[in-house]
Amino acid sequence: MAVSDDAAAIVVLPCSGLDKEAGSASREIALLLSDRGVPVVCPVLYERSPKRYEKELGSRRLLVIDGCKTGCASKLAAEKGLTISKKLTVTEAARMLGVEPGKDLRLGEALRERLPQMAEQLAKTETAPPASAADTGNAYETAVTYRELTVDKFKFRVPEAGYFFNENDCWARVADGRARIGVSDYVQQSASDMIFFEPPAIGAEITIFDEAGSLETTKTALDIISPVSGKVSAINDAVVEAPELINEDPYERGWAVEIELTDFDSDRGLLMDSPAYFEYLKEKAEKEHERLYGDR
Amino acid sequence: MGEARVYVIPCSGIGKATASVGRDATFQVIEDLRPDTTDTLCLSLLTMGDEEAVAKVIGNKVITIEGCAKDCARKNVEASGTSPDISHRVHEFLKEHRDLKPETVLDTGEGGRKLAEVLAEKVAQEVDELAGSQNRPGE
Repeated sequence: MAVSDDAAAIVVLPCSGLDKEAGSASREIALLLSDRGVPVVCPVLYERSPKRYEKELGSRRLLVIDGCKTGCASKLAAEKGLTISKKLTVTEAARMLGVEPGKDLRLGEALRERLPQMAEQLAKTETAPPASAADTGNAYETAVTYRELTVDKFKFRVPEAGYFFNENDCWARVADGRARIGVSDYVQQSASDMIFFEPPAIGAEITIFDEAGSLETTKTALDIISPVSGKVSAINDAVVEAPELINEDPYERGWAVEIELTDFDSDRGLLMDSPAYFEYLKEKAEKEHERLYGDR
Repeated sequence: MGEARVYVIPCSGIGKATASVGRDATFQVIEDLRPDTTDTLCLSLLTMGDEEAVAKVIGNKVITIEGCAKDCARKNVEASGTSPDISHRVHEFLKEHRDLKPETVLDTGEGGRKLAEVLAEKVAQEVDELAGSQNRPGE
């Protein structure tokens, strides 16, 4: 089969795919994309021989497929400092298509029939131009693309657009009068493994720069300093259950609190947009690196 | 730790028809032939150093099945601090059964399916031997 324009621009990293039916589906989706000319990265071989995939990973946008919530492929990508353009978790995607993945290792017909749709959706969504917050019903679902800041051996991701930051490295993603807030990639890497998230109460009134929950990591404890003012309208229960989501995916699945905005126009003047934060972080991270490691 | 099991661990099987045969054979052993004495685990978990997965391979008998000579499954078990009790390469079985050539990675075809059955039968016998020794004290 000829390589399409889309296929020429992407590379896919699935998990090993042995976590019951969903795992098998992960691998199978990757192979369906492979059949269309998309290079597939074997996660195990990549871990052992990263140079083998250097060219593809350096020149294409990365799609990641996790079979289950353990998220091995995502973890591997994060560990290797790869920028994920789009990811798919089979268990969640299958449920959205009306199929509950089973416990058998083998693929059942119901799930197998939906794999081409999942593969298509994964590739299509990733290659489509990003929608703006104004023209989507749920801007939180808009694909996020990232810039990467390298300081010595450290790599920090910053969304290319659509996020606002305060100087405490906390972000807000605004949509339809609300904002999801969380901490940046820089925070999660500096603070190490998240082990507890203590959220604020639903309905609590929060003013910009107030605490909006706290985090405890293996190294330290820190507050989430709200970049916006308003009323707490939702808590990310997934992060309460598994705070490591912040380490894995700080800007998307790792959001902490949703706030119903009261005066974002005013808040906005005190925040940095994504490009400004990138420059701010560059200076901050370089200074911190110099402080810790000197001119070695 | 739960009841002792023999862990049959194939490679991830990305890109090679022989690797798909190894996975198919694993599924047959785990789900059809020896469901009470075997299990598998996701190789990615070992790659990522998952403690529970590492404990399983260290605390139980292990058979690895490789789709190619890179031996990713065996190497990852070894990286976890132990060695597989038995390690297979699908190619070795293919040499003995040249008429059972797998076709593609997505569909191994009739030959590939039969080769997986041959391999699964062999592994199931090995499971019986390993399970027997695993359950004998002092071994």
